[in-house]
Amino acid sequence: MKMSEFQRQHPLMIPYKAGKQFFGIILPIILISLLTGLREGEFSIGWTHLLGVLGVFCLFLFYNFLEWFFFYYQVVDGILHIRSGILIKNERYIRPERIQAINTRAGIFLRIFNLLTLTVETAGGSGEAELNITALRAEEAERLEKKLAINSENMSPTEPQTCTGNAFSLSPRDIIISGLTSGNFLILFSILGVILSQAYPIIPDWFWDFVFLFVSERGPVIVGFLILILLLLSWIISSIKEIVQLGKFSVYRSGDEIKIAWGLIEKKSMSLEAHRVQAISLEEGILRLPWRLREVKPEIVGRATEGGEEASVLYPLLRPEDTPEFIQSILPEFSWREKLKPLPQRARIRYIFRTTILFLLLSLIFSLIPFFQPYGLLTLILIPPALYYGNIRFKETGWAIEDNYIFIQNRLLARQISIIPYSNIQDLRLTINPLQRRKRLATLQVGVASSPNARIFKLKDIDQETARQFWYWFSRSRS
Amino acid sequence: MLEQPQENLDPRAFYAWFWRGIFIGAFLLVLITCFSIINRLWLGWAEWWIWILLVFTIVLTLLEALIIPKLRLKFWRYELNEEEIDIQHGILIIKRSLIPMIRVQHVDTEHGPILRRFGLATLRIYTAGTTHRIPALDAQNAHALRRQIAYLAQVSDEDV
Repeated sequence: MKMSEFQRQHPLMIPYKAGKQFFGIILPIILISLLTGLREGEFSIGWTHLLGVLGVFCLFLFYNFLEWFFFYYQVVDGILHIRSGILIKNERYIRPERIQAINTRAGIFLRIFNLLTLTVETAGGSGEAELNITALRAEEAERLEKKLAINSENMSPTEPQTCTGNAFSLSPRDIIISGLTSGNFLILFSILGVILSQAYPIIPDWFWDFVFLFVSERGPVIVGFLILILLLLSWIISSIKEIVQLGKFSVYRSGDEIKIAWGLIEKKSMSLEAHRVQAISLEEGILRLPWRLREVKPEIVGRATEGGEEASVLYPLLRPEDTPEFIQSILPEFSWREKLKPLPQRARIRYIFRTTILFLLLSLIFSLIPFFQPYGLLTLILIPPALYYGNIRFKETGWAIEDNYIFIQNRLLARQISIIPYSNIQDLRLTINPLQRRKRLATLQVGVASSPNARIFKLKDIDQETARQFWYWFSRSRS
Repeated sequence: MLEQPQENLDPRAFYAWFWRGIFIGAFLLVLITCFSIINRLWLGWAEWWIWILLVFTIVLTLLEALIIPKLRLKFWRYELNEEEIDIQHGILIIKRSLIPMIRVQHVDTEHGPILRRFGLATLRIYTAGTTHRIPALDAQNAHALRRQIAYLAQVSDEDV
């Protein structure tokens, strides 16, 4: 009985998909060969060409016939069951409460035959999040949609919390500080550098004569000076850009809504459902580190409701003393903790090694190969700073478990403190490599849903006892 | 550090992985042979590196077909209860994953030609963003597990 409920897609799926793939792949090839043929002036379409193209199309048809033949779907008790795969058989079950959205669409070809493509979207972005049933009769699609849509309404993962409706806004002074310390000028600097290096044929000869005049004698000084000017220029430009863009930044919370507004000249605003924020990270960029000024970045799941623009920053510049209040009034689903726990001492050498190894290899190469001598030896000066930096990375890595939250602090260039609520953790993973085993260390990975890609928070070289603590904290059956 | 998960994979997984290793090795050998023929006929490069490649392939195939499957089978473990799925695998680097039932988005089973020949299937578990798998389970068992997980994921209710 059960087997008979299985349905195939409409047979017209075969020519439809084959055609789509065919034109997607073959058309550019034909165009290119046409163009090259025209250029060489000896192009003619022979029977062999046409037969070849037809043959390829038939292959596509055959492949899609197989796909169609082995694709079945059915809905049993509201669960969508899909069986597919030509060689590798796949059975998939999708429960209605996991469905985020059901869409239908139809191109011209499908519309002629009154057919639709049904897309079922589930949360997350592992690439498996979207499922297509191609070429369904319109009434069949409607029936399916009805069957699946019953439960997908009540899918909000956390209860919306009531909130005081507090607002936070950036003072003019903070806006300027934010602009000056944003650190984006490094990006602009490298862009300018690339442009300059690409544009050098355009630069008039007298300029180069002028430069070379100096390079011959005081070369390094001039080059250094040019770089400095370029740095300063990009710093000023990017600061102004940042100030204009982020000016009058304010964030406001009421109920489940987080409302953000920004822009000095062009006003922009955005609203975000708080339950979609899965985790937050406070990022302290290199220029802001001395003052521990933080940028609040969210991990957001699901799609933007209106406008399509998604917030990448919840607040651009947060002072350490304002942090607890900010979290409490804007993001009460999260928690704050100032002091985190350090890693065990035996992890220090691993952090230093990981940071230094790249520089070590580089400078080895440069100082051993005669071609780079004697300047290659200069790369050796990079090693002490790398050692020092590795030590800093070790010192600034920390963690804490407090109630229903974990805190992870990492340092790459910027320092980042992430706050992850228990209820938003998708999975927890511990890994131990042979070297870690000797030192009784482990690496923790915490998966959090985020769009378009899941975010994995990592904490390297924690004590195995700490790892155990995380495990028991997360385990529902052992705690 | 933590007590190990209880369940092992199906012992037949060894044969499935053995044959997969052999097939991959055979494929590589065919490639190398083709290349050496082309080399003899047209290119005329030195041949010593083809021999190195050959030895390398044979060693790799032996490892991939005989030793690694044994070890993998030995170190793959999983356990399942009403609240969560616990998976441990990895020969040198041990990886241990814990997936709460409530976070499971969907489950599916998959079997390619080799696995099917030995009556095995791979179970795949998707959360919102991450994927986990338990390879080479007895096909019947895999289907039963899939049903069980789907059921448990549906009934488990969060009270955080």
